[in-house]
Amino acid sequence: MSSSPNRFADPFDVLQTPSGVQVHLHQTRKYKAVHVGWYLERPLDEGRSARALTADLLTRATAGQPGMAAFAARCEDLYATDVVSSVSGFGPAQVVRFGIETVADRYAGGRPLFDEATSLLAECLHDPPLIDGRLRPDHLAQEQANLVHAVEALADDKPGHAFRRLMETMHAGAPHALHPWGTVEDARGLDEASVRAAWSDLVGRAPARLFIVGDVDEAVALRTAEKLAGPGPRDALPASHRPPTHTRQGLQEVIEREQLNQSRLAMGFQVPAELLEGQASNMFALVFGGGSHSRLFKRIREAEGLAYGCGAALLKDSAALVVQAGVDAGNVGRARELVLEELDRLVQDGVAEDELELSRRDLLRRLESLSDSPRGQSYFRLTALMSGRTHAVEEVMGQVRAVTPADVVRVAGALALDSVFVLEGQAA
Amino acid sequence: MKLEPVANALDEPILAATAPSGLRVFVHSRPDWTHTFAAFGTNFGSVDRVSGADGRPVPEGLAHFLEHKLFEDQHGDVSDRFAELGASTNAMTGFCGTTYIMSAVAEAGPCLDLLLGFVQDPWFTDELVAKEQGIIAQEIRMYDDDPDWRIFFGLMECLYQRHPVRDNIAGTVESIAEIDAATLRRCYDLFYHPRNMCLVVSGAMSGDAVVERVMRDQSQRPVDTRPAHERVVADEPPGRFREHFEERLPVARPRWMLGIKETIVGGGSRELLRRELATRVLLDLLFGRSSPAFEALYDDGIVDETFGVSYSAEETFGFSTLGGDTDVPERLEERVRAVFAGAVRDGVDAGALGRIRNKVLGGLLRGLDSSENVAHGLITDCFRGLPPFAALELIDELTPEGLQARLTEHVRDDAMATATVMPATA
Repeated sequence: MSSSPNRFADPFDVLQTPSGVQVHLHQTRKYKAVHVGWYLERPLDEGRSARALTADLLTRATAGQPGMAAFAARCEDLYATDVVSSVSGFGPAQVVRFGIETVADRYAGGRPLFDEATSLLAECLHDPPLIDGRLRPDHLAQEQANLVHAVEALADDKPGHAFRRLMETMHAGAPHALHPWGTVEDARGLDEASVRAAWSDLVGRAPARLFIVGDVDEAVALRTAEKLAGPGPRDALPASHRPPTHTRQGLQEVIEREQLNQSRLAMGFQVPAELLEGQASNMFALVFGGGSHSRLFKRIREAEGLAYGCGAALLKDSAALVVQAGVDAGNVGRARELVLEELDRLVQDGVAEDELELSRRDLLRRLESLSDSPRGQSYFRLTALMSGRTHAVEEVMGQVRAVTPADVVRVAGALALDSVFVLEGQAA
Repeated sequence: MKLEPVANALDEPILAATAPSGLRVFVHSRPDWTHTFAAFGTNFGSVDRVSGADGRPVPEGLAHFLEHKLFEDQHGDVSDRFAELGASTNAMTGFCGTTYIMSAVAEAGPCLDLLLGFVQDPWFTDELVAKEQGIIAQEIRMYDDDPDWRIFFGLMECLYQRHPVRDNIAGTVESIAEIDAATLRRCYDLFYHPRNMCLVVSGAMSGDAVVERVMRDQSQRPVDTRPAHERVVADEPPGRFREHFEERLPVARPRWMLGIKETIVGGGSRELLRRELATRVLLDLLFGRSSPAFEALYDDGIVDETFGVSYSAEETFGFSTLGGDTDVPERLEERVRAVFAGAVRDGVDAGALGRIRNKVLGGLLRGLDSSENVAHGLITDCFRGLPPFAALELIDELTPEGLQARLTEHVRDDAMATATVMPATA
């Protein structure tokens, strides 16, 4: 494939296998490695814990290498090929990713490294160690215990814990509130039959997208997709996930206390779904709390010295804007006031074009830099496809350029504070 | 200043030159890349607490404080000027270095000018220092709540008695309260001079463009006649200082870590790299994912995916760490010590050595897909005086006998300490 004169033109070709796998191929010799992402999608609100466990189980061993050491040795021999799995949430969907990153064949002295590495991934998916057709009980027990521990340990990361508790409060009763690994009780309740059923469904039927970025041609990409997909037909990809519409009114406040040096403040704002189209909401989030030039950073860190960091993040898939800061317990109230004050100031006084331009340039740079990041460009495309928005970087850049100060003020004025979560430490 | 190719084990097109001022410059130009990443580093980190030049003490946390303060000058916040150019900037302070970075697409040239300018033209006032003390105090408190950070520095406090590697990189709330503008200025002048610094540019920008910008900047600055900073070897006993550290924090499970203090220091850059490589391979053979020991520990439910091993070495210190989350810290310690003892007694099973070259080569090649990774690696190599990817040249020198020797040299009971973070509610 020749390089395009426009470096922001869509670099991906979209191919389709007979079994229904969508293949997104960016064929390029730009990178030393080839990046493969096999993305499977199922609803978050049913069976998520079993699929999370399956992801761990499948990437620890194969029937051919049933021991962890032998499996790891094979990866090392494949020039330290990374075989990974991850489980995340996107709106109401759970996304299970199996991936490999392996050195391009041209650096392996003629060895068909890509074929060997993708065959290993296919073995992981379709040929795990079984005893009498059942998942090995020892492996299952270990991974189940590890999943329980991993879910429990989520609370060790205090900023992450505050964020998650805020989401649970904000989206109570909706899939958006659910962690993609499930709960401790979910994980403890799994048995062999439920995990085997999840495995069978996930690797055999779940809607799949394959992303490949690297020195791989179309024929090889299609063969890889067939290898990873296995024999059966797959379910069609679901319709895109639209952001939820908020219906609840009234502020919810939750305070938890822990033995911490610093308190965590997390504030969740509802964003009307219709304002999430285009780039005005992204631009607002950057102006408000998107970095060192943002209003929150300037006020809460630089002017008031209350926090090391204070920022805002827009979650389009759950129609929320989340503001977070780490402050002394005695300053939580003050920080909260300042966040609301800055939001109000933005609504009342507006935003100057030159201030908006800082965020515009920041966002444009991030979009332009995607072309240097195999994983970044794959993930950007995946989330755009899942949300039904344009995946053409050039088009998104056009949307960014079109945002006006009035658009940003419109977003700011439409926000509604939904929930506040405080993880309170010792007062200082 | 003329860029010349740098011989390297991966035949990467890396160019280097030294500006008339003494500043070393490396360029890894990637014409088909979109962004340019630049890293401007100084060989001054948190362990540099006594200057070789004037012998006066450097307060704990000063290197990190300087890093913060350089982002504000008489014109205001430097980050805002990067933002105006559509670029991002940041900085990080480690034990042995401080690095300022920028990433740009549209106006990489002016951003490089800005990077060179703000790091070399500081502005210190007591008023701005006082403001920053509050912000850094919050950063310190944030790290004090991080169990990974706490267990690591708890372990360092056990391994080291006097060496500043035992101290928090950001200092303490008390130590940074003593820093004023005059102290910052004195330390800046000691450590931030061209011969003690290195610039790396990786990505879309061409070598010629880098040279033009660097020459324009450096021609305004006096030729640096001062030598690069010689790190002072602390008066540190060879053995560990204390056996154990324990703290209770709000965590779900206990965390356990074993540290081994390096008793051999110095010997020059190549020897340091050889030691580093041998120790990392040794620990990988004994406790890496492909080792029988890790598999047994995992199968027995003693460790999980959080278990890891590492080795770090610099001119004046070095240490290995092993550990992770576990419900049974005592059993894990027994098993780890038994693996070491077995390897000393029976010899290291070096059968996996054949795979190591592929593993190292694969890791280095994959690392080249990140301009950030390339730039940070070149700065480290520059300060160490090593060619890029030198590990690949040394990998074939590894032998089972050499690894066995490294094992007995490094893994000594009197150099070991442990640290645990226990759940606060337990």
